Amino acid sequence: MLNIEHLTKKYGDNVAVDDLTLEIKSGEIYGFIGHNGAGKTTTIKSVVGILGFEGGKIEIDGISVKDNPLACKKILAYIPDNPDLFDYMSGIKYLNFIADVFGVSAEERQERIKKYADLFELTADLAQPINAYSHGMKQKLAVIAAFIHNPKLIVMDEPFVGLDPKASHTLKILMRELCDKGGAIFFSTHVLDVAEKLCDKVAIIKNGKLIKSGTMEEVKGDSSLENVFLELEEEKEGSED
Amino acid sequence: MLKTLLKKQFLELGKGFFYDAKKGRNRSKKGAIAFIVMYALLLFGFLGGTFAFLSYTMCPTMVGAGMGWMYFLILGSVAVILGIFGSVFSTYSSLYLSQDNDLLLSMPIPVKYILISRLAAVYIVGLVFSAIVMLPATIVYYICAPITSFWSIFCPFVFLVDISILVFVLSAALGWVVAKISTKVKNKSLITTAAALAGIGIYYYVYFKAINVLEAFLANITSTNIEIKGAVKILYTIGSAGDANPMSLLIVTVISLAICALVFFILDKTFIKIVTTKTGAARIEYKEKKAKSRGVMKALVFRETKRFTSNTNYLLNSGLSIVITPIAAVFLLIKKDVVYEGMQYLFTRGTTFYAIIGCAAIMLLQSMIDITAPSVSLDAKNLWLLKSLPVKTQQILRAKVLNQLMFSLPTSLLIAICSAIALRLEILEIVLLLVFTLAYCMFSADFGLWANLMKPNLHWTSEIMVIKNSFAVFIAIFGGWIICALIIVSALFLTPVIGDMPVLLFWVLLTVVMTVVLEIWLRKGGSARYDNL
Repeated sequence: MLNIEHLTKKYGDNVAVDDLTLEIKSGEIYGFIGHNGAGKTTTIKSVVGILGFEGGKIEIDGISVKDNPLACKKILAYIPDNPDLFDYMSGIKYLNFIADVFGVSAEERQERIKKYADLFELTADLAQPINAYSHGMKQKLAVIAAFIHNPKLIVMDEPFVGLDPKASHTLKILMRELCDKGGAIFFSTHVLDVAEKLCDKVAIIKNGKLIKSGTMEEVKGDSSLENVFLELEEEKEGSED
Repeated sequence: MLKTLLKKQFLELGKGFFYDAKKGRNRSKKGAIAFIVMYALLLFGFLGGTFAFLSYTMCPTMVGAGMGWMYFLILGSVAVILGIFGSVFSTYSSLYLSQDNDLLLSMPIPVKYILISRLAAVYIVGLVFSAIVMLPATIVYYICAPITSFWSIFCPFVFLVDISILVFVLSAALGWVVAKISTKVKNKSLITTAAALAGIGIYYYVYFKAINVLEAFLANITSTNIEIKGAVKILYTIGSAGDANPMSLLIVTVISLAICALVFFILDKTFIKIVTTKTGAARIEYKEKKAKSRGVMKALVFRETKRFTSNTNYLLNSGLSIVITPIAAVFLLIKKDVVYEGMQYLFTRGTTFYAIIGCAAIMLLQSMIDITAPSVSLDAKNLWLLKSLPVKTQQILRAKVLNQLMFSLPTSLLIAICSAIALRLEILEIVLLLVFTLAYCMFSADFGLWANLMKPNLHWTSEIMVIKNSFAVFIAIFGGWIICALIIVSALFLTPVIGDMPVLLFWVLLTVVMTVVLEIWLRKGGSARYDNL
């Protein structure tokens, strides 16, 4: 579903992502972990077509992000770490805007808005302007907007930040449902417990370079993901010294 | 602590001079100086030069006739108009809607200091705008009027400061009224826009009343021993404060400072309550309705329109002419005979000449509709969202242009038709005026977008920084005014040489060509610039 090959992204002379290669297959929830400034958000923004990149290629469902960005964007959804939405709209107007842009029919959007807004307990607040929403409510709205066009791939940057426990639980169920239907999820997180329980595969990145990836069992073995992550960070630091 | 806050506030105010938003880093020292010099030249060179010329035509005659007080009264009024135009709409948001209000309030800083630092920025903006008029006026006075005493030098200078205080007081008071209303009403943007417009309306009412009083006064002058009394006495006191009259200066200064202190007292007492009151509006419960779908372009235009109409500052600063133009159009229709006779009296020329003047007037009004000029900068926080959507950048830019056209086209066509009727234009002239109007509306929208794509500011802390004080908006408005001035100059000096019709045709064709060039640029260069933001 998502194929990243030898991705290299630079900011001036600074290499933010260095020769990164990952493959996320249909049906997989793929976790992406690393310390602050490791290159997670840069990778994610390159995948969703927000940032251009200097080297390598990214394909979504066999379509090149560089050559055909619009076709890629049509089948994916992106939830950023800080959901700055259109504050001047109400929740429902925002959802309708997203549905219009993705060409979701009136019937389908009505059904999906009802389904997801009810699930995230946001229905009553949909008429409120977004600038009156709390951070968590904005995050819920961003999640609903991501699901509204039934994407094949959802790319998320720290999706659980700001969500209440019930909404987090609901999101995890929806993520699994999407993958069970043949979709895929690629998301970054600092909450390693969540990654450990939720992900089929995981990749660990440091200073823009991939240091380990594979199935959860391959990466963590008998230990916990947290221990493995910390050990890998220390190893890498030792080898760099 | 206050010094630190003031420094922060002034850095924010002058950020555009020192920070290159496009490159995401500070400008070099030379670059910043060059930028400041260019800005100062545009403000004080071009605009200030215009007022210097105006002052020079008035000062020797008025001072010579013992009417120096009227010279200062007239230019003081113009300065207040410009100062208010420059600062009043920004006061509400810069005082009460700054993004760092919460952060500053959470710090161990006296609230009074936060308010003072915010007000200092409001004062500086008002001072700069009022000084565009008063500085040349004062210098011209020093040159043309005889220096008879210390007061001849001292009074004009202090009068300049008094005018800036008056601008500040009016801006702060209106900002406070708007803020108070905002905390209590549901439809904030509409009500605050109406309140601000009412404030301006009251000011103009007072202004025109004063003009009437002066006209009546001048009409009744029969001897050199003029008795100044009643409403004229008040106006005389204000004007003579600048004209070497220490007593008037003392009265004006004391009253200005007293009103200023009163306004500060009120603002200080209410500041924290207004800042921390979210809204007085009741919560709106969502009721499911039958969904409707729209096309992508319609959705994108809807987004632009929604942002424009839901933001009071954006509405007032970028769309004031949407209200003024229809009023002017109706005025033209009602007073069409007076307008025509006035034109004949002023120019004694044919209708083609009047069509050229009509083009310039429409351009002047439409230049004040600059919705596209801050629109790219306003996207700053939502760039991630727009870039992740399956839409072409061209469509995003097109939506911005269409949004402006939605507001500018009907109003400008209306005034074009009314002008054609009032000026009794021939068919060909009407056609050319309408073509010009259509082309200029398009050009104006494209030009604003071009300016913002060339000079975007994606690191603002308050929307007003890009809506009002950005370089793009400045270029969009004054660029239009400069072209307008060129049209008038060509009408006055070129038409006697090559005739009226060639000049009219030239401006119509030039506007069409400039629009086509900008359209082509926006599709390729403009889209690429937006993608790289």
